[in-house]
Amino acid sequence: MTLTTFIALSPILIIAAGAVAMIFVDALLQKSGKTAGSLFRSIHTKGEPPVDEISYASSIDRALVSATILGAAAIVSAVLWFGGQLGGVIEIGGALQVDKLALFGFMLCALGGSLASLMSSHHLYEIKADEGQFHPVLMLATCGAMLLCASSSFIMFFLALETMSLGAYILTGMRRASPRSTEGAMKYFLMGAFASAILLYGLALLYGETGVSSFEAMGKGLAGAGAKPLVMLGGVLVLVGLAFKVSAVPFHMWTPDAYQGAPTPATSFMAAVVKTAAFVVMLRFLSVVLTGGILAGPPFGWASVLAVLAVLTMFWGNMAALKQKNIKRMLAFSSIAHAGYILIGVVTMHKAGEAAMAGVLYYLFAYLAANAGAFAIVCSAVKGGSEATDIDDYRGFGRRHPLLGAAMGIFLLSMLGMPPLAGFFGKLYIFASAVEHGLWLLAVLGMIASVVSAYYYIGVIVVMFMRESEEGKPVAVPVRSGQIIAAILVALILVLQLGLYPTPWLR
Amino acid sequence: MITLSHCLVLSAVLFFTGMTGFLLRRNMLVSLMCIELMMNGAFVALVSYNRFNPLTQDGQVMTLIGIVIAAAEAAVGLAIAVNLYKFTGEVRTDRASEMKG
Repeated sequence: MTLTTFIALSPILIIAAGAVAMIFVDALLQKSGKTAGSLFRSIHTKGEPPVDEISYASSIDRALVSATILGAAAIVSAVLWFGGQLGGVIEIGGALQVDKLALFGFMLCALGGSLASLMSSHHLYEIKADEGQFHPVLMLATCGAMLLCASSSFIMFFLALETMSLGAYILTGMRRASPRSTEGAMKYFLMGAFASAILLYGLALLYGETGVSSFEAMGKGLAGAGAKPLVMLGGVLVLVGLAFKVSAVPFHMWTPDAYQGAPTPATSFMAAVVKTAAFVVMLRFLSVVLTGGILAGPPFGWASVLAVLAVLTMFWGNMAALKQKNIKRMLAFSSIAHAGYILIGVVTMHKAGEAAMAGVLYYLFAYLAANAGAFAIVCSAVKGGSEATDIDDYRGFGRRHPLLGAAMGIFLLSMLGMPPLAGFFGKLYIFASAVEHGLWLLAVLGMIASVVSAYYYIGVIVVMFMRESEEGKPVAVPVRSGQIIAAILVALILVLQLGLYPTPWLR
Repeated sequence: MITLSHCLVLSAVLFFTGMTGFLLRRNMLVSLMCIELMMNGAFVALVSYNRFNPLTQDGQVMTLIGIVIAAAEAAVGLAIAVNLYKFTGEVRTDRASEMKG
């Protein structure tokens, strides 16, 4: 292992080492009955005094430690990505390939994980989840997501995919006292494991045709093989498996339940990290393995399949979001719809090549920031001792708490695609690149779908600012937690920065 | 003489048995076993492809790693099933349907 390899993998190594250390430290501290409190307690929380001071403080500390480690990894990846010191592509053991795409994926995954654990501090205490397990699992799942971004052989691909998914199943079911959390975890697990098995069979068929495991050699082998039935079937099965992971319609049934049932930080993790990693590996797989003309282009290549999925996903996601009463469920359907927009960018890749990737990655970044911010605000709002998840709970929230209300408004408008916020440029790049390469029908359908989505995004803003809370009903109140505020601020800065000055991110 | 086709037919039968079972049955433990069956179908395909085309050992390595992953997956799945049993008193997947829409 040379030094360059080490540096290239350092973001993953930092997180993995941190997670293992946290597990051990936690076990030791539990034994001695102390907490790591004195070391890291820098931000205090006001508001309702917690019943159990020690476990509350330790919950805060753990969240801060894991957010710091993940944040450090994100910064290291960002530095590597910006600096380009690595000098191109680094191959590691025929299994990993750290290039620009992988580094950007590292950055997004670590950032998403960091924001998720930052917003979890108060919430985990409130729902009585075991945060001693939550953070290490979250970090290891993030490692899986990052390995997935860098995987260049199908062995690593499957291993990383499962590392990420198993972590996400556990996080979803972390709220063991809640039937909804268990139900969400069960649906997510069954659907996810089913999808993994399908994907594995597809990989086996592609392997059978070529006899190699590395993506690049596989791509060369398949380009020569042409359109054999087993190759086509293998490609379709892999696409179905990936479509499950990015929750594209009609493989989305688990998404709303898993998003609603999971603890809110875990929901944010699923929406940000799992989706990002799945899209990054999809880009890599489609651009490296299934490159042969007949496998990619119309009428039967992946481009046509994904184009149909994209349209279904956008419209179904937006239509179903219209009638939701629960804000987490609404954001789940909105995340399905966003997967549809991103799929347009992926489809464009079969004509535009690498150029289309930049748009997709930018969109993923913009979506991650806005989404993490929105979930952080949902995380911060409580109503009479339990979390406020009904949209009606937010009546008058924006009037009572103008800053938080304004932040939520900005996040929702960014998801809607309002200029000059990040989401607008994300959509602009994806749709413009689609039009440029003759896919104007997809772009037009995407714009129509965005118009539909305005109804429910603006609906929440209207509820927050223009509706009075009903007499006698408990209203949503934000907890005063410095960490949640920090998470919201980071997301807000990213949304504004990406929107106002996007140039540095588009390389 | 056993040829590649025989092995592939076996793997396809395993895979589709598992898939059919997963789609038809509503018991979570049966669903878990069906997923294992599907994965085993894929493993048979990987190993037999590797056996008849021994260019590299990747298919067998993948199978070994995959078996470990399947075990980890079963552990998580059973943990969820135990929790489900706590709430509903059974492990039927259609009984847990609190969330809809």
